[in-house]
Amino acid sequence: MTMNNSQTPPPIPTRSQISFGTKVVLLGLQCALLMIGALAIWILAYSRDERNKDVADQIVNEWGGEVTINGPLASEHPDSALAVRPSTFNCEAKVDTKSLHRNIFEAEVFNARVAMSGTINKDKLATNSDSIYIELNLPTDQLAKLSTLKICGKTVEWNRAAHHLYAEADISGMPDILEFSTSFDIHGAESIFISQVGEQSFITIEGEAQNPSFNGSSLPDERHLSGNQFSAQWETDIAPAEIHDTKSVGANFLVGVDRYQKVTRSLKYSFMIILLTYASVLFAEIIMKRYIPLFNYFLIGAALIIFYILLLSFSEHLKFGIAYLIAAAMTVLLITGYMWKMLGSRKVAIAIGSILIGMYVSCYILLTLSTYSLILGSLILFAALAAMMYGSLQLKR
Amino acid sequence: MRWLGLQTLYVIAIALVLAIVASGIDGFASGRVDNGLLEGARYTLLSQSIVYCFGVISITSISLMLVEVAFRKSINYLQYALIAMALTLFYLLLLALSEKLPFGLSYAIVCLMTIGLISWFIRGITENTKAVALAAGILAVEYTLMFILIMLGSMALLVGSLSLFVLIALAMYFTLKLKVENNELVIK
Repeated sequence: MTMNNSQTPPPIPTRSQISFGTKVVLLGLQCALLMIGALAIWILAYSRDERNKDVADQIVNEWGGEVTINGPLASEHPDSALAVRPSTFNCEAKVDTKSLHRNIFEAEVFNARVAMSGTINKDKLATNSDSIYIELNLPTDQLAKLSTLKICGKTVEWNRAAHHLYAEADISGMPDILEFSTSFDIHGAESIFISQVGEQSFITIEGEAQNPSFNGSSLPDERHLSGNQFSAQWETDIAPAEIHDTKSVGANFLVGVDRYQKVTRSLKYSFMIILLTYASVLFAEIIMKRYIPLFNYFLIGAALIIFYILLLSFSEHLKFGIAYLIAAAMTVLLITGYMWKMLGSRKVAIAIGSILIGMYVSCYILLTLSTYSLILGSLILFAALAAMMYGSLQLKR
Repeated sequence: MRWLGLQTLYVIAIALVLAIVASGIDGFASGRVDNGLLEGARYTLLSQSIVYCFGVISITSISLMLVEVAFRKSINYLQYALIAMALTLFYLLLLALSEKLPFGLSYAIVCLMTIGLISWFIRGITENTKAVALAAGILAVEYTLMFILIMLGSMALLVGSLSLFVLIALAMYFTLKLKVENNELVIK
């Protein structure tokens, strides 16, 4: 190459070094440009989230959607207009959530084991008939296991209709207070609701779920949440006069996955991370008295943006925490190695690396602790600003 | 005054503009599907490949900047724009050919055409066989990677993001080798 030096004019003359102020302005411009990349990733995450929701809807359709259990109600015969509530009604639902996968997409569904028991007052039927008709409304196509109906120890088979179960039982010679019990397994997703059908109702929903929210006509009287385990109890002895005014209570579960939300939330901090990294590289440049070209800054910024694509793609295959760890480790190692080779100083590289690690750790804390994120975020910003002020004071000496 | 940073901005701006043009080609292609001229399955592949337009143009232009420095030949702004246009024309040709031929075959033909044209152009600019081989090699790798990404479906994001990471690492490696000697930029 040096042999040609005399023949060909130097193709790329180097520029005179730009002033510090101009450089800061141009770096700010670069940050803004890199935010276009961040925006593109945000759009990508959004479209993949939509796609995931579509597939989750398909999975839920096949597995079975919302579960609403209404009943049992007793009447004289199938066509009777007069239906009678049970005088007491106990219902216990054990909900087991699991995720169904299709390719990289997944949906949270559940399998609920429902056991119900109670008593029916025979006098309220106002009949002398020897048979009783019991109807239980629930999505029958989502039933997995169905036991029999037991009335005062007598076993009666359920009959299935499109949207309800029904049974006709012979109650001759039984006491006035009829005790009944039954149980079944039902598939579902999104929510399970049980109506407070009895004059006295006692409903328990418990099990394992990511993020259950309890709603319906009333909030649970008692609830416990610990880790993935939850339990909620509702107790009431007030029943509206009209059967169809009966209120129901239950729990909602998340169907989709929240990894895309986490990626888009972490993208919010990307501008901050790029800005702080640029500032620390700028300090390194001044301390080391070595010129770092704008192109090198751009590569560092691009690596910080690529972190989010890596995070997005890893989180589709791994748990979010692990995906974050791997993506952050890759990015930090790359930038630290780059700074080390560029400035030839291990000290500066380690300083930049630890600043990056600190930023990624605090970003992760902000993501997981959503309730404290504002106070924590502003405190971290305060600390970063103080560190920068301290750094600039050191520069003058 | 020509310097790396300004030139990067220029090629990225060109890549952005031409990516918008390419999305216009995407819209045109979906119109052809509605008219029954293009098969739906082939359109899906074409539309997925257009996503990578910005990447292909910016990567090619930035590696041409590397060629500029390494082989001490200058490529001017107009020539960058022409090469970027050739890379965008790729999609129009791909659309035209895949209306008649299977997608894989038309992809191969259009790839050869584009790589041939750009190699010839770079030969004219640099008059250096090594530079031509380097540019053609980079283009061939890009188009192979793009074809793999189109075919991968749901795994494309993972492979794509990992290759972006490798690419950034490569770019960093080359900037480390850039040195200023006797007031000019050289690769060591």
